[in-house]
Amino acid sequence: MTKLGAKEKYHAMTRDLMWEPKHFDMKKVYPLIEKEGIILKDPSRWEDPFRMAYNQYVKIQSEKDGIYHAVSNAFEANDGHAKVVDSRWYEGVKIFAVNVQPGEYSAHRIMAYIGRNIPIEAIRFATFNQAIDELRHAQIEIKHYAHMSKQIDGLHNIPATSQNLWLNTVVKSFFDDAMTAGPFEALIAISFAFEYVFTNILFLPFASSAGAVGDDNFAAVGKTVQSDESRHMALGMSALKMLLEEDERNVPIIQGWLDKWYWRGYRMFSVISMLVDYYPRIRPISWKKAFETYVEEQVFNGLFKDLRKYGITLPKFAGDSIKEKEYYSHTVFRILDQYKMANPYRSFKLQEDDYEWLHNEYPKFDQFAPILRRNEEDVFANTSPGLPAVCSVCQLPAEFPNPDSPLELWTQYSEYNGHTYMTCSPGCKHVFDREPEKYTQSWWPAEAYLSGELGEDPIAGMFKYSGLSPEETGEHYTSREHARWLEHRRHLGLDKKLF
Amino acid sequence: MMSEKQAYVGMDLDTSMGSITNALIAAIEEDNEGVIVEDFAVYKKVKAPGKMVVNRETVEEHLGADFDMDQVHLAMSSCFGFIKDWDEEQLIIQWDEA
Repeated sequence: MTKLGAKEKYHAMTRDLMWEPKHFDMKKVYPLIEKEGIILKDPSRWEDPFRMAYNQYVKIQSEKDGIYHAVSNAFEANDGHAKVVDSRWYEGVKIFAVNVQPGEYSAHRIMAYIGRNIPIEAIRFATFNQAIDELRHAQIEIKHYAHMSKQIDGLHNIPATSQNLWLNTVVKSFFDDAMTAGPFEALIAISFAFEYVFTNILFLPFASSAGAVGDDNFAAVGKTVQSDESRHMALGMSALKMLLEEDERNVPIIQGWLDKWYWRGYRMFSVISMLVDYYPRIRPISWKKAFETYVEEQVFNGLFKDLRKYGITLPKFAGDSIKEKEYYSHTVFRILDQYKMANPYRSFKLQEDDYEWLHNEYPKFDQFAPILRRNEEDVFANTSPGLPAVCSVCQLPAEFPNPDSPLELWTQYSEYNGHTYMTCSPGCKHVFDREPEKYTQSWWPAEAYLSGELGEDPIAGMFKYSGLSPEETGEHYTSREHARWLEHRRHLGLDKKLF
Repeated sequence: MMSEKQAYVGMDLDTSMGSITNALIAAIEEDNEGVIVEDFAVYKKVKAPGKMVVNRETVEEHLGADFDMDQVHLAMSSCFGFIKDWDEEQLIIQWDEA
């Protein structure tokens, strides 16, 4: 018997995963297929470019897991935690640890939902693989969380830190929005906006920061996860092309989703700008450079040029995101620094080398520097009383400056059912105004706090709800965590010249 | 933004894959015109204008060992461009009209 080639093997092992039901009406089996207005003529000709059969998939994935666990175990056995350049790095990684694994778990559910509801063989098989991938990512990230929790505070209560923190709401709103959309919209949301446009920046430049500060464990998490994302991106791009080619009436529907989900993804990833530009003491790349490489060059100047032939244009708010790149990380750091008494990780006092790097990379940083310098006298000098008003769409504090006129807030207002709703930017206002009934239903921990839902002593109630203690918030260099890390280094006989 | 600037295709290769990543880069440089390699320490970005071909035979020459095209999955942390073909002999990434 001759061995099958890659193409024949794929066809042999994935065919007949779809069949036409004889005893049930197709429309009853797949009730959502016509709800979004997408027209399909002959989608069976569509193929997954990766052509990966299940036995091949399992073999490759187990090798990837082996590589990751080897790095992770070696890091732990060699006191890797004590040897990073500066322990403030881990405050940034905490934001990753508490937010990304619940997101991955949601992505796994969304992929299963898409595969269940779109009766196209190749999409089913690719989303089935992707659903398993997302579970693998969640598991690796939970292992990483467990590893960090042995050395670092704030990570002792995974059920609470995966859903009760106010920051969790940002990620949850993105994935819940996709999960409550139709299956085709969900596919564009996850495979295009999340996977193709933005996961690169999360898992590659940020992994590169990890490598630079000596956190090989986190770098390995990033690379093993992202190695699956290239398959997900291929799915997203092929599905996008397939939908555009099936019928020209699909084009305006897809354009609307690209406009919405580009901005949703961009805002959810705003915190990454701060993680790349602020938390690493040694920075291999800036947010601005990462955005130019991965979004402007690879997406706008690559993918979108290719999609022009279908009548697709750049996402509606692409220009706003390009303007914001000069301010993004500083804005996010400043906003979050104001609420450091309530955040699930610590802010930190910038050091002289930080001011220098930020000044050299970003001409506009000098507008922010005097505010951040106030932390030198009193680490709580910039904190705001209470909690911020958040954007009704992205759930981040609505405190972004207008990039055309940075002394003004960019906050927007919409009227719906006799109430006024606030959004952080024209991009989020556009998303809100498309489906206001969707975005007026969110429950936000800070509102619960203000309305007394968390008890008579709201601050104590909030900490009880989030599972954290006040000692786990605030400023890093003055914290017990930093003192413990220095003590650990002294115990190991490592140098302490930086402090 | 939507300029007539050359669009590149390419991939981000994990440097912890050592000799495999080095052989992939050497093979890509040999079989494609205008290749640019950027070093981000934990990964290397290798890109080419419009189209990139990876041939198994060329990778084997540089690796000095047998190479299975499935091993690309282990080294390729990310890619950009449409995957046009991927079988046991070659991988082609390209933009159609960019």
